[in-house]
Amino acid sequence: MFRIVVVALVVLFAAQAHAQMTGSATLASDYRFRGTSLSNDQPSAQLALDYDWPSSGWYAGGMMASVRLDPENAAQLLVYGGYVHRFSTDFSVEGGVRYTRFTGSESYAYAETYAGFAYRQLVGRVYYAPNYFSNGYPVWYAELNDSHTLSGHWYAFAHAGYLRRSGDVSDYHVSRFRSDFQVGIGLSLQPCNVRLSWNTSHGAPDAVVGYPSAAGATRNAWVLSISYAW
Amino acid sequence: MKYLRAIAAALCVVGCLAAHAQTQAPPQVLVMLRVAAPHLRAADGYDAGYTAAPDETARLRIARQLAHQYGLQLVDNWPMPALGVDCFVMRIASGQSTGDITRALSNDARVESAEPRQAFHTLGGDPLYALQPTATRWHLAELHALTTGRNITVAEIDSGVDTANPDLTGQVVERQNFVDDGGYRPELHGTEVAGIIVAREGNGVGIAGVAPQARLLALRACWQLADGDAASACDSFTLAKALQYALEKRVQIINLSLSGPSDHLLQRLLDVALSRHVTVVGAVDASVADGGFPASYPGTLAVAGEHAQAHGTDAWIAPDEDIPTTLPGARWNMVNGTSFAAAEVSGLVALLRALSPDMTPTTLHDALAARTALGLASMRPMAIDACAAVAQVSRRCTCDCVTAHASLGVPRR
Repeated sequence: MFRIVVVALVVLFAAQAHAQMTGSATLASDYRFRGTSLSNDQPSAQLALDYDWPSSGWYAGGMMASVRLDPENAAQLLVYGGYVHRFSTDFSVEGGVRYTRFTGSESYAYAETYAGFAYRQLVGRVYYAPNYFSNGYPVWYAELNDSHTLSGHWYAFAHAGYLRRSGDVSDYHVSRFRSDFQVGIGLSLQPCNVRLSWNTSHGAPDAVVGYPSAAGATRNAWVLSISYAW
Repeated sequence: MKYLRAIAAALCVVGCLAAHAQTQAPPQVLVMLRVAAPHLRAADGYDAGYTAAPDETARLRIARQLAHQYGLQLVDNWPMPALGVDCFVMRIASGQSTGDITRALSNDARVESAEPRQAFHTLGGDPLYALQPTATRWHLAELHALTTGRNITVAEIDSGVDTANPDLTGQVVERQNFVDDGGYRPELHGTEVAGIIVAREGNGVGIAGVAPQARLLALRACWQLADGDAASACDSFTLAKALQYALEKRVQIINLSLSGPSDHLLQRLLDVALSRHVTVVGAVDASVADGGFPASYPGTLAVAGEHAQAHGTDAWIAPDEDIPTTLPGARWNMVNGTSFAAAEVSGLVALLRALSPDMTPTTLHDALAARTALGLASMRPMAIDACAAVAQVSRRCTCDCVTAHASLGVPRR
């Protein structure tokens, strides 16, 4: 799967040399993903690359991030591709696929498809992963993200996510649902971007959802991140 | 005094033109680069946000590459989300051809479009505009920034309209004569009313209509009684024919700057019009106790002048004195009377319906009463606050935002 996506990306890049490419590097005090820490509450470095073909609506990209699983240092590799259609100035819809794997003893590789919309600054998406983190069961995840410009270069943002794990959870005697939330403020000084957020999650514990996070990882965390784009 | 103001306005226009003639824009080109619609990015769900999406750096880099490649200097840029592009301003070096650079950029696959940065200047405007009561009282120019009556059809049932007046040329989509079998005749009253509703704006002569981009049907159902006198006569038959025609044409507004006795045939036609949410505007006859027909007919928007005598109708009040308007030929003059107050309101309704084409009579009433919404609604007649009406329908800031929205509770934008 990973090779197929990489080949597809290479073909896309070759098909149109004049894509808009954006690179960004991020240092974060914690790597929070859907309410769990993939860095065992430790700092993480991330390198992302995004390609846009605005005239066609296609886009693709990838990311590498340092993680700490099981709890060993490892790296995450992520690629994605999708299509977005703008219906009006304020409204657009998109769909695509994202593939993730990790280095180390376990790859936890999985792919997920997604569909979503954007209305002004409000973004909603639904993801479906048939084999979430290689655990053998499907997971649905829905999220809403919003952000608003404050005065000057400041802005506020918020996120709410809701996850449903399929399959048998009777052994755990806990809920199959999990919610996560994030609120924060950001300072955009292009090409730099600084963000401070409060993250929390409720519901099913990491083990039920299948996250390879280290034991003792917290559910609540402040996260400070600094990004540089080029 | 009014003539002095007109001369001063004309001098101001000439002065502004001269000042702009001295401005010499540097050779620059505007380069538009496409902005992708918002979508998922690599770090989404990890630590990224849309407000600070980093992709603008990609376009800035492309703009720099373009400037370097074509020997230009990048001097400015501005996002234009309404067009889905970022606009970059690039200075052209001496010796380069603006046309060649523009063509080369336009053919570049990275560029959405390119065009020379062109110098513009303000035009002469409408010399009599400053004298129009609607210019100052209704802040017409500010209303026109939001709405001009585009795509709204107004039927003016009156005497003949002269489209040879430069302010009316191209403003009348159709003229029909319902008076006799003869040809259509241009006459005073019809031409005066037409100018107030749809006179061309910014054409350098005369006035600006309240709804300069509305479509006017000039339906001649009245005839001028004497040369040089606007007084005209109509009858229920000619009026009925004209009303029938207006209904066939699916107009949104019917202006009736006339008055007479109640008439069953006309009432039935008006009932059809009102059932279709056609706005019927009627001028109040101050010499008749009930305001005269059709102004007194329920559902009709009765309009009285500010200086008319008190009467018992639920009329709306609009300026009715010293109104500059069009005359047959290339002439203009001041007029007085509720006929012209009604014409102003027809124009205003066209502005409102252009903002909200499907607005109901109730919505329209509420908009016109916007300014009196704070406990003054029981006062009759009611003066129209055009700014508040447009603000209520458009939900946008108009005229003096503070004043307009103090009574509306609408967020300032």
